[in-house]
Amino acid sequence: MSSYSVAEPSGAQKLVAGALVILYACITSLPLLWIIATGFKSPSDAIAYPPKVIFEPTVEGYVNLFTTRTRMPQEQLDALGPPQTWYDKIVRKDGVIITGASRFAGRFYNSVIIGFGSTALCIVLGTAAAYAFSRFKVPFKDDLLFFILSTRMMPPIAVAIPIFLMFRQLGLSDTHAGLILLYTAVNLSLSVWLLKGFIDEIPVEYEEAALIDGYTRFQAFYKVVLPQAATGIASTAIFCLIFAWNEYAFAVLLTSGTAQTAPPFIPTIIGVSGQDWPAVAAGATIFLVPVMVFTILLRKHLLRGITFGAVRK
Amino acid sequence: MSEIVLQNITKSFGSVTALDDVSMTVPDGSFVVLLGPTGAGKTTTLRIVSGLEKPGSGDVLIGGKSMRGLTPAQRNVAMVFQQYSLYPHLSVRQNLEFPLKSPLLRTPQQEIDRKVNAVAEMLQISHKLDNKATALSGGEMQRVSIGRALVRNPQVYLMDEPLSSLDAKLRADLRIELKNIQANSGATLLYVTHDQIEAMTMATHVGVLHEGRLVQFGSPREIYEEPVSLYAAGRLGQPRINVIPAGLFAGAPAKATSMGLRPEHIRQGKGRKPRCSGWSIWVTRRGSIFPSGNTHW
Repeated sequence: MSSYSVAEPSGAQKLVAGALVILYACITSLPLLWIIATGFKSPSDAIAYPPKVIFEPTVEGYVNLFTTRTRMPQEQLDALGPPQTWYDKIVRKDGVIITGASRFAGRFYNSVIIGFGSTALCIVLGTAAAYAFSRFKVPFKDDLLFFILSTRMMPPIAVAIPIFLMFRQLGLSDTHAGLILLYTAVNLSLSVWLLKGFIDEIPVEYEEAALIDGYTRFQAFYKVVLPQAATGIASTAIFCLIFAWNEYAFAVLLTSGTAQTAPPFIPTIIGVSGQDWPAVAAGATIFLVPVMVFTILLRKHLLRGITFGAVRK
Repeated sequence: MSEIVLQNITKSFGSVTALDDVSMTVPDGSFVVLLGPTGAGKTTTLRIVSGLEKPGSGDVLIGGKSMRGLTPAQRNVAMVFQQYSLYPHLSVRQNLEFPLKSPLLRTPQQEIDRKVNAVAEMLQISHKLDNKATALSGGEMQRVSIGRALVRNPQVYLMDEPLSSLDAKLRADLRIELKNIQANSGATLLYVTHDQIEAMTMATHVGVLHEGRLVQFGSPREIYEEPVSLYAAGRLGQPRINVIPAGLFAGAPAKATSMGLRPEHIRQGKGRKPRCSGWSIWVTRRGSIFPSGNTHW
């Protein structure tokens, strides 16, 4: 059997391949599992050495993440009477009472608005631009496309200072609109190029057929091109969301309060009361969820995107 | 249904001239077949009539009205594309419904169902209506694509080699079916092919295109029996017409340089005095060969 054989792999080959895949999956998911596990440890278990693999799970980290607490002398605690709720009970045993909600929920909400907002804007603008570049005679098309790509040729943070000054001048510092605009600007070049590739793949005959069938160009775009570009749009959306969601440097620089996203906020949790690693891990875990859900929802399209073009057009 | 008039249409793509001063009148209710090899300008002609392509100069009139500046939708034409162009994200039924649901027609659902079922029946694709358009064989896709044009009642039908990817049996069936539809409905049909059998069996008129120019326009019989050039003569007839230097024949018209002999004009037998070395031929004149005095070739 030659090494180029297309025959069904033998049982042993499948076993080796499967083992390698599992090994790789373990290596990549280990840090993830570690963070998730740490979120459910007690503070002392989290810093135990050697690290504890088996531990008694607690949601203390999550309670700490969402609350602000204050330490009280024992006699005052006794005067308060027994704890009223399950989360009161968890913190009370450390001699602490809950004084209010933390800002994590608000920061998380900011991340959602800014992440999904800039992704949506990127997709709308990117699809429109990509369609125009793909289908119409645009003067200086190649130069324009190169120019668009060239905005990605340096790390975005290299222009942090001018952007910081511009944002202050325009009153965009610490606003949702400011970060949405910035992330859209950074992602748009990627989005135009990716989407143009996908739209180029859609034969122009489908639109021509729709034009003949009595539709306007915009209707043809909407009814015929968009559904077929869904794969490309989904994968582009995932890339845009992951960037905007995880972005840290600009978020630190340009936001401090009302529009601060979760990434700059999560590390600050650690200083609230000692080294609260479980709370940080809990924040990171919750922070992971939206991107994971989004990716899983669009997984079908992503897979189709990979196999696109394997069959007759 | 309407007459189509092409007035001095010229179209070039960059330095390539696709159509060079083409004028022709497609009479109301006729079945016109444009014949010519690849690159002769057949498809470009269709695309200009449909409005997908703008003519460089000249005008297209459908039903007596100038189509200048009108979108394909406004022209109300139906077109069958060579590459099927079925909407891959829709089912067969949705593909057939698509033109009827357009803002142009806005057909009531009951009417849509009736028409779609009738067309599906005729094209023998009723059992595939709920398939995805991509889950069909090439022949089935082509039939859906024809069906998508036939569900409508447009001013003209434009067809770009619609039968080219079908197997022989189906092609023969659909030839008859298309001819029937056209004859019964009185539809005007402009049909592009390089298959001379389609031209001979279906056309009321044939237009012969050669390198962007309309060489001859007339009934299939006219073009078969009285072609204006060797090129036009060669487009029809299987086996091809034989072309022999006129000097071989004593009785050739005075200024003729070539003689065209259809195979049926030639009979094997004993000649009086063989002029071609090798074997003797005996030629009879059955019907008009080329009109005498046709001297430009």
